[in-house]
Amino acid sequence: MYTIYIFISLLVSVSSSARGSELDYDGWLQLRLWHAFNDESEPIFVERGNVTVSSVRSGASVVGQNGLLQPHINQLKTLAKHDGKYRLKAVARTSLGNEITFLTSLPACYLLGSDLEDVITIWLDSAAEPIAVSISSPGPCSTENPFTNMWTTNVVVKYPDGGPVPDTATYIQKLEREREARERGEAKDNRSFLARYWMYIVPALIFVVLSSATNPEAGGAGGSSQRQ
Amino acid sequence: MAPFVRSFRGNIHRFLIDVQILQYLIILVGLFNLSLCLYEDQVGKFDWKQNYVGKIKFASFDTVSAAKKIIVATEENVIAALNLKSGQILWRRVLEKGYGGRIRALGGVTDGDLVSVSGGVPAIVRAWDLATGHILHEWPIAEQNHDRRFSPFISFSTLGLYSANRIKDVKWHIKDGTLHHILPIYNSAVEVTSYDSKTGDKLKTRRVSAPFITQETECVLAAPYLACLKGDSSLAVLLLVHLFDTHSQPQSVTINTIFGAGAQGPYHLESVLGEEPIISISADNNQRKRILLVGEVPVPIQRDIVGDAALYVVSVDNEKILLETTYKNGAKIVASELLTSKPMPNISTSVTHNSLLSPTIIASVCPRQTKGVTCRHLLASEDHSVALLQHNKLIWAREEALANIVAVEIIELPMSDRDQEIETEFDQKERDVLSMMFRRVGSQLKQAKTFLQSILSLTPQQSNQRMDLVRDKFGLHKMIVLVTSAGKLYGIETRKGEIIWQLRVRGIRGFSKRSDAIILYVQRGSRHFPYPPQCALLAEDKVCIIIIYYHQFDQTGEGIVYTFNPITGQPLDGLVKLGYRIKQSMLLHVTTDDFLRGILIFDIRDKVHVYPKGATAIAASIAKNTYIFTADQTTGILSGYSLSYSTSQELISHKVWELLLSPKNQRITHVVSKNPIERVHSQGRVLSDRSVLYKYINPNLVTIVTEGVGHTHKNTLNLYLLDVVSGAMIFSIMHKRVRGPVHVVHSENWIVYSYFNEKSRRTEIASLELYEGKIQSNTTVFSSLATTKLPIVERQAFIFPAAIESMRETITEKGITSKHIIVALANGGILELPWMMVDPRRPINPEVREEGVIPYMPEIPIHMDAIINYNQSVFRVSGIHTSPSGLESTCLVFVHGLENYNCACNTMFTDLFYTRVAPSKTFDVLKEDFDYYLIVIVLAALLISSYITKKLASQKAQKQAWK
Repeated sequence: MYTIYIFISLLVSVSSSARGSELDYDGWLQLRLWHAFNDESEPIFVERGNVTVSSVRSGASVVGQNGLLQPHINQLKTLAKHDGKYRLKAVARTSLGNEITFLTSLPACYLLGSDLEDVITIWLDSAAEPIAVSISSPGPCSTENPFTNMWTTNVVVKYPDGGPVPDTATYIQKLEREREARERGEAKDNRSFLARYWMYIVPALIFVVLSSATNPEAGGAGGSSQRQ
Repeated sequence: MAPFVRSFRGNIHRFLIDVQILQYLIILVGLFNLSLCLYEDQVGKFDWKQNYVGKIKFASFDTVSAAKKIIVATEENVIAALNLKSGQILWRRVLEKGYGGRIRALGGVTDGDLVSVSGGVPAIVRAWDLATGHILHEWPIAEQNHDRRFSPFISFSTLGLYSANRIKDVKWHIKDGTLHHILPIYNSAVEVTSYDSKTGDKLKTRRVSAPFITQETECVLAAPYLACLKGDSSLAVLLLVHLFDTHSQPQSVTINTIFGAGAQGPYHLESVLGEEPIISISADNNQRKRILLVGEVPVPIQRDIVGDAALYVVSVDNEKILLETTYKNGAKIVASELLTSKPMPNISTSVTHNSLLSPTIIASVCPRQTKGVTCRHLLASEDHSVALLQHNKLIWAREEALANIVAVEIIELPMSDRDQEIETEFDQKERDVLSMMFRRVGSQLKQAKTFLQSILSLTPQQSNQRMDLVRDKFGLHKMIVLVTSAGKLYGIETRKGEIIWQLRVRGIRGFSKRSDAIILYVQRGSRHFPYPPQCALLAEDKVCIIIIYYHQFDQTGEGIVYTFNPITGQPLDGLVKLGYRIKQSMLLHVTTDDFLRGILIFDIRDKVHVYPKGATAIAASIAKNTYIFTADQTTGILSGYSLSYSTSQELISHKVWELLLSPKNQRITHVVSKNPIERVHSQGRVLSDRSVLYKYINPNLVTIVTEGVGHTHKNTLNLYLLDVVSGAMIFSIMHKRVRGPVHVVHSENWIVYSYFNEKSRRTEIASLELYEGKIQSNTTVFSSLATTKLPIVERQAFIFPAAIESMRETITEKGITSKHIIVALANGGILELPWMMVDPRRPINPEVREEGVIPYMPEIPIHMDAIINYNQSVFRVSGIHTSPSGLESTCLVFVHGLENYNCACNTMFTDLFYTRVAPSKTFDVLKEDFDYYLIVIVLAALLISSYITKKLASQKAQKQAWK
């Protein structure tokens, strides 16, 4: 009755940005998954499968899990009808031998809507220890029968980005460049004094002329100089 | 052309003068531009500042100087002089923060010079000028003792528990210009080193043999003796060592000679304050105590004193008088002659005053005057307030509890009586036509009556509230509700900073797990007349502490709720004991029929309760979409709960997510969510190519900051962004080689945090900004469960050229005004930093300029005109509270200190400062000096002229028609 299906999904690596990985350690990680479909506050967990991340740095992983049985799908449908939550318990075993339990959930209708497609995201801290496992599904929300009873699971491993640092080097370079440009600009600028500063001289001249025109004394002086 | 040139030449000297005038003009114009910030007459117009000294530790009357004053040293590391008549601060000196500035001893006031010893390793001795508070001398006791193990002077790095205990053992004695450093050496002797208190010269070192002193020995100083209690309950012996006589042998007094037979332990030793060497020993579980006069022959006084009486010995005309202070609905001071126990009713007093609560005499002086003996007592109360008592009369009281604020809310004032009547007239409740009409006529008659009264200048009836405590037009006048760590509540109005009411809640304490935080919720604002505004306080029960003390099992702090009216300070439901311990709480966003917002309380057994009970149905109706999250600092577990299985009678929680920030690697230091009243006005940001970058505005996003622990992860800082509804981690970032103090501001779609960079040895500010991208996932409402796409995170770091004490963002009513960050600096300034300066999208190489984006500069400059408290420095700020006003442009800012540490003794000193800021300038208010007359005249003239010209035009048209 049980058709065992092993679904292998190759993994997406994260952040191609220049900052790159800050992870100092590499190791493996094993997740054992249990899930609950019951529509009650206390979950009844049944085994779902397991995920093995062979290298946390590259994020390469192998997913092994059974397909859903019809009673489980029916349970999931009732859960979705009541707007309930599908709960997933993940027990992580790290290469250091630590065992950590995580709990995550998502509205059941998203799982049905996406035909049992989900993404399990494993977040690591700077010591490559898992700190969070969360499940998400692209949706949309639906209460219909899924096309398949097989999981389509993607596993994503995320680790912290390196924090930003004040970018002094680029700024100093920029200042240098600007200074050089200015120096070059000054060397090139061999126009005459008047040609360069006419925009300042003309208003000043107008000011002088105007003030002498309004001041009768100045006008007289101007006249006398004219007579010479 | 030529004549013109000649005239120009002739005018050259005039031109030079003109240029000079022009220069002056330019400078003058420049000055006008600079002085746009604050005019001198505006100082104190929108802001106020109050200074406090904190909980009194040592005090001394200065009767030597010409101006009589009181010198106090406080738990908040402050030395200050208070005016004897008014209690005002004459001068105040703030010492180093925390451990390094803790005041160990104060003395020498009677000799006319004030000497203080502060800090631990090295201790710093300072001599102060009594009149001005200037430091006259300062020197450290930093010498290394030959035996390092017994010395308290161990460098900070090796300062373990052991040496910390030793510092506690060190006693200081200041007498006649000499400072004695008294250090017990276990199983051997007491080492007394004397220094000249002014120069720091070492005068003498003696060793007085005291082989009985061990680590457990309880010793007190009753100069010149050191009194130690040796042995446990039944056969306890009191040993007295003369500190300045190396040849003397320790004297011993058995407990039986003091108490007689039949006294029960445990015994507790205390030195009685005052000038005389007297100690008190309490017995029978602090039920009674007796005192012992220490001298060459110790004299026990054979009289029982009640255990909770505070003792002080004062001398009047060379006679020693014992003052016993007890408290029962009022303070009672009973004086008696020390040796004969003869009561002295003329010195005994009893006072009942609001600000006295279980007071103890800290300092007392009884000079003989012409009328007889008048005593002045400086009383320090349990709630940290200080009062001066003179002859049955309370001269002044200072509310020093305000130096320890744990929670703040700024609340709108209610409407005036007249507005309230109008409000009742048009209330929403359904009524039939006739009653509506009666009500209307009635209220209009009332209005007519008050109008007539005001015309006939009759005095209106006194209303139950103060006339000036009403809402103003722009909502700028508000009430600040403060909760202090001593369990005292204050209501302060914002205009002048006057204390309107104060309320003492006994038997509460802050949540011990959350560093003594007390939570304050505004359940109902002042807008819902006739219902009174209501605030609720969530805290732990203090009584249970005593239970643990006696029964030795953990039954700590069950939760309590205390509701009160924040405007009048009247208790509403009083103290309600919940009977369970609170883990998390939340204010519901829906109200009951009487506009009361319920409080959802989550207890440690994961059960959900609602306060008041009546709001359960309302809470259940929204339970489907109600989520609670908890974060445990010790276990590092973060969990989320949903209430979706709740029934209308009972709320049921179930866990929907759980994650672990392993305490082996990191320790949670901050959990910062957004301000729940915040509104985001613009959904996106317009780029230079006119496309829109949509903001990731997730109201459920919470910032979690952890600091690395252990050898390998020390000095790392992790920041996680977590959606607390779905439990999905959104983003994580890590800084290496940085350390705290970390300050985080989380608002809209950005996070700004500051930390200290160990590598570069500077404070840095990093900022993160979250965007959904060019397409918005849902234009109307954000759903944490439906959004699976991770946001784009922009990030940038800046150098900040000052140390930061606290940060907070401004908030306005509609969120249109741009955001500023209020940064409290260590130098006492409060900086208003525009968020634009820490925008992570500031481009390094600006090719195309975006609107409102300044090119990147690694350092954020501190402009002096952005310091909102100008010269009113506010030191050791640890909390900033912002609140919107009725004006969109204006945000109210309240700056205060806060007890940051778990240890109750390590309190912080504070000032209160209140002001208002306008981040985008006051665009919605006319200037104060706006010329109303001019605009009226201009308008009137325009109106008249248009009317006249219309007339004239019609006349002309008429004339033309006749032609």
